[in-house]
Amino acid sequence: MDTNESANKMINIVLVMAGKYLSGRSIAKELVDNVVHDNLAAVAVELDFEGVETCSQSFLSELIYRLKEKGLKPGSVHSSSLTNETVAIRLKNELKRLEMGPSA
Amino acid sequence: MELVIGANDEFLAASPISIKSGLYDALHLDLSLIGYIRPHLLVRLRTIIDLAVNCGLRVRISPPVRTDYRDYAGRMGLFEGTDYNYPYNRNEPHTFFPLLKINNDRNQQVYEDCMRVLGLSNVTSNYLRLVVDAFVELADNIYFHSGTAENTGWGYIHAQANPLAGDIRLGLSDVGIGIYGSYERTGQLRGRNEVQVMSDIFNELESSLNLIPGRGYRGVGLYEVQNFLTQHTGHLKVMSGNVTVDVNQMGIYTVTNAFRTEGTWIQMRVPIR
Repeated sequence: MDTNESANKMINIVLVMAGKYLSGRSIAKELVDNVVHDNLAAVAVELDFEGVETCSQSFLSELIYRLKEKGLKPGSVHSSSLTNETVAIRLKNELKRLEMGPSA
Repeated sequence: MELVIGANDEFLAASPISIKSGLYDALHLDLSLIGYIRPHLLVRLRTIIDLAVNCGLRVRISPPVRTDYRDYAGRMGLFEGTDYNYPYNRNEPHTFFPLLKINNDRNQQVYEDCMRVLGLSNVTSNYLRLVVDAFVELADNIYFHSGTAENTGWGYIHAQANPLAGDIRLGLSDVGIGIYGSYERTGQLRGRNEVQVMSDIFNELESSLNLIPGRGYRGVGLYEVQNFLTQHTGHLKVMSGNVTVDVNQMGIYTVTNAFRTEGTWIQMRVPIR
């Protein structure tokens, strides 16, 4: 899995490495387990959607939940190359549900 | 002793109980006078055949008399593992999503095949993504919930697009513990009876695995499916236990049946848009 931990402590998760069509909670869990080895309390995460066609709601739910479980703070999830409007809404919903949005 | 069942919804729903009973050493599936073949029927038949084979029963088939029905079923691999030798090779016609066994939640291939196959029906690509998302959410549930333990379920899925009829039909079936059974297993019934549970499963954040807020949520998949059906005038029918639930744009309707559906049997129909 491609990750890039830069000086300002942003971890980049390249989602397309898990496939163009993302579904299944086990894949989301594996993705996070492979990428994140430390506590995320002091870092931000960028979800890179480049090349991803679609993500199921349950995939995103598990992904955000696992990141939160690793200590990621509210407001620390960012996204890039997210052009699919449906997936953008799903991500927003999931951040809200799991109290991980910017204003949480 | 041979268990004989025809392609009648009631028998197909309940027959896994007899197959598991240990009273029979053979299953005879009489499909000779079958009146139609659709995805939800094929998935149920295939699930029953697999169950019978797993339980050590010999499976005898009386194939459909109508050659088009027999060929459709044969090409999808329905007769594999039975005494009926379909005279042609199994193939994956490019117009149907194959009859596929689900025993994990690695659904990349399901997505890709669905997009390719159903995309041939002139459906718009954004809409198709939503259809496939709904299909995959339902398929995930088979693996996640239907086994005696979490992530051990198995079942079958199948879909076809029919541009002439203007719809896409999808079928899913498992012979696991059923929806009510999964709630019983995890202690999430909270005093509800089977009808109430079957109606509640479409609520947001309703799940047999509900965790407390802030620790993680389940129960987003079926809620999403229902939203999609409501917006796009689709229809979903879920049979599990003694209850059938119909979901359409008007609402969610439950009916208590006189028979019991072993596992969960789902059919979904959405218009081509």
